[in-house]
Amino acid sequence: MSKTSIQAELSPELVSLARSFVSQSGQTDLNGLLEEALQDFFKHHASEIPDGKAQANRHEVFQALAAQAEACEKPGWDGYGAESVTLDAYRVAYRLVEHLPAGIPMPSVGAEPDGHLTLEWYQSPSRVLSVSVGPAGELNYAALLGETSRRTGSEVFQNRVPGDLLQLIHQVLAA
Amino acid sequence: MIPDIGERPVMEDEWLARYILRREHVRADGTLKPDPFMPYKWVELSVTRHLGLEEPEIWQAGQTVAEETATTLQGRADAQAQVYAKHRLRVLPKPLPNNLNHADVVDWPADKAAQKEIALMIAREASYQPKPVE
Repeated sequence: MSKTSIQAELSPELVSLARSFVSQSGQTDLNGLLEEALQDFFKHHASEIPDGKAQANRHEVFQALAAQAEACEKPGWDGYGAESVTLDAYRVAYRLVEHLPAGIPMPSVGAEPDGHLTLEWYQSPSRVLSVSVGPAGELNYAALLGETSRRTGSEVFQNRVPGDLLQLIHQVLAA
Repeated sequence: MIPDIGERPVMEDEWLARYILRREHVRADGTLKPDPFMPYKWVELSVTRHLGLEEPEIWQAGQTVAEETATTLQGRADAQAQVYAKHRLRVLPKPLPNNLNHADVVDWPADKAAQKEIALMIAREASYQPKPVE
């Protein structure tokens, strides 16, 4: 399957997989099924997923998270009264990156003034996903998917990457 | 410099600077991340009006912020007030003793994901100016 055809067919394929799971298993947890399907897709098509411009390997992201947390451990690190990035926020972000499926492009790392760490998947200023990771597992995210399409959401990280986020990562990087 | 600038409302075509004090707030391609546009801590965003300032004075205001907070000025994100206004944000003059051109961007939504969405759109439209080499 070519990169272009993956990009064009991923969403219908996932929908089809989810429907298939539902009809065969009788389960009704569509979000969970979609997440499973996405994890499976990334696992099997790892070599065909487009790299994205911020590609890095997982180990480099772990290092970047540690460096970011250390650089922002004192209040006011942004010059405007920012809160410290806590060890708890670092731990949650680390676990989130750890749980990203194999083959998925890795994010770049940053921090926000409330002390949350950020993970960003970036294709261009108009195709970008930014996820804030808080110390209690709060995930707040926003994505630009072209000039007019946008998505936002909030979740709590529970040792698995939410399916919505996986789908957004694909949508951002697939253009 | 305009002595009574704090009494003049911010016009939509006015240029505003958000100083960048973290290198990682700028991507490798020179575009800006949304992170430095997130409001905090009273759901406000500090900016500096260009109005009445010469270019060196705009940089000096950023340098003052950096020195006061023991950080390093990396550059500044410039955007016109209308970039903020189109997201239903207001820019209010709020002169400080050491920066009469200071202003606050207010009326942000309380929801953090909604703040991020706006920050992404502002970052898309703002232009990054690295600090000039001395």
